[in-house]
Amino acid sequence: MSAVTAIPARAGIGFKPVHFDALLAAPAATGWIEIHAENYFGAGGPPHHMLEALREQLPLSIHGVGLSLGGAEALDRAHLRALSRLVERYRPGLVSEHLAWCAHGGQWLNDLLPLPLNRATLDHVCAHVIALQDALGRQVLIENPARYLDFEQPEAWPEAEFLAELSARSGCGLLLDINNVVVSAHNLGFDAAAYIDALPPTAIGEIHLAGHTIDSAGPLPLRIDDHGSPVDAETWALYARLLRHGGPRPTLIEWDTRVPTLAVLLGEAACADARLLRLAEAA
Amino acid sequence: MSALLTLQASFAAALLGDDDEPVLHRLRGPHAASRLAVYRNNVLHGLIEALGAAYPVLRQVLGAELFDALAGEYAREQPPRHAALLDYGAGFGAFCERHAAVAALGYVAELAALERARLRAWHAADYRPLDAATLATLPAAELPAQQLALAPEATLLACRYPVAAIHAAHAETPPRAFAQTPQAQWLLVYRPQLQVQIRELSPGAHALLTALASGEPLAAAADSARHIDPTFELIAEFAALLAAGVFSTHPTPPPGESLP
Repeated sequence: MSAVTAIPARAGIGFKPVHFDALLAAPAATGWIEIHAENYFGAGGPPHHMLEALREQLPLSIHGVGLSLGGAEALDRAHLRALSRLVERYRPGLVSEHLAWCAHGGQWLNDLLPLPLNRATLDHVCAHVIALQDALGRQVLIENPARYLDFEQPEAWPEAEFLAELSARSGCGLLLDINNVVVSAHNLGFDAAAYIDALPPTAIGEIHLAGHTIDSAGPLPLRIDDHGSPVDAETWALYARLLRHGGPRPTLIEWDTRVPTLAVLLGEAACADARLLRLAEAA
Repeated sequence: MSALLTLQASFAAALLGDDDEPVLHRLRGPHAASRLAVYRNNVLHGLIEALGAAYPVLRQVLGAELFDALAGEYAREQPPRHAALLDYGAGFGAFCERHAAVAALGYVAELAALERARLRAWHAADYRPLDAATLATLPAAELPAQQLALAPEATLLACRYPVAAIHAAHAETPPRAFAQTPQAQWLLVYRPQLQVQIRELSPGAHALLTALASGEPLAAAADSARHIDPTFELIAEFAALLAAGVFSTHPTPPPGESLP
């Protein structure tokens, strides 16, 4: 297996098996790829054949979606072992997980569930992030989730400050999903730009961009993070603001439902690359 | 119990059941029930999709509406035990047959078992097939006592219905017409290279491989085959299985070792 290849401050795409042939034929079309770790917890077969072939050509980022770092229970040791094996096998440039929980009482809930952001939660998540980094022997990036609700509690922390403190205490980096900020800001009623300005720029190791939908069926129109459409104008504007504020960063286009052709996905990536290039030229 | 653990216990119960009250009391602002419903829908929708991806032919046979309704019931009753959904839904075929109209079809649990076997083979460890040349290096006298490992995660099925034909009929769009009457079929599902194979076996070959898979030596396995079918032609059948890459040169790892 190739040595670790650092993820460049360019646009990358989430790898979908349906794009394998097209991508392998022209790997230079993207700067790097990202996969969901849990889809590669099997021992072999076509998923690993594809990944090994692409890994020879492109820098790889491994994004975990199921470790439940915010779970009140102990980390799942078997999950941690499987993730460690995958990281050891593919030596990715970046490894990331979420500020969320998704398991309780031996049941796994297939979503990134919200946490009450307070001192006790910070202590808890911090310990889990440190355990993860110790198990992998490297820094991980922690991503802000899309949120649809908040908890009633005394001394709640704004999420950006919580993440800044988590990074300072655990040594983790941050994966800033700007679409998630847009979605959460709308749903919970905070200022997206102020959120982004409150993050420590040096801690941000990667950016995610994606599309969302608006669910107007209920009494309250909620923005739903479904990764099933182009990046919207508000997200692009905040992306430009973040780049000015923090400098260029590896930027992933995520598109997980109603997956488009590779050409459409690369078109979105080209929009991100154009902004990264403009920044480099201005510097 | 920590406050966070209590909160997550009630949140999990609300997502999989109907008791929202303990969580709703903890939420800020109006429209708390609609907000919680987003998470419930995400969880259910994701698990229904995972089951649909695991059982694509069963979904065609039952129709999307019935399949998704059954998948939703199953997901709430038996959520996954861990985050790798690669092996989620092992009991789903049997679960579907609780529904009288589904059970009346007769072949649903067997078709589900076939799709399940295909998925296991898809994610199975790669292996080097045992070939005749390697086998020929063994002294002939040792052959009867020889144990042989099947391909990793290979599944043997003995079916009352012709499920391989039912499965194949759905590879076409629209699906080809298929016989729904019982007709026994013995199958081996494995992945010699990158394509999952569904190999139809004679009853004797099924007995031979079942015995070998349980660790019996070749001579005892051959006896099992002849017990099922006195006319079982060991040499010809074994040569065909060998040529098809059914045996692995490595001992098979314990099932599920790769999954957490």
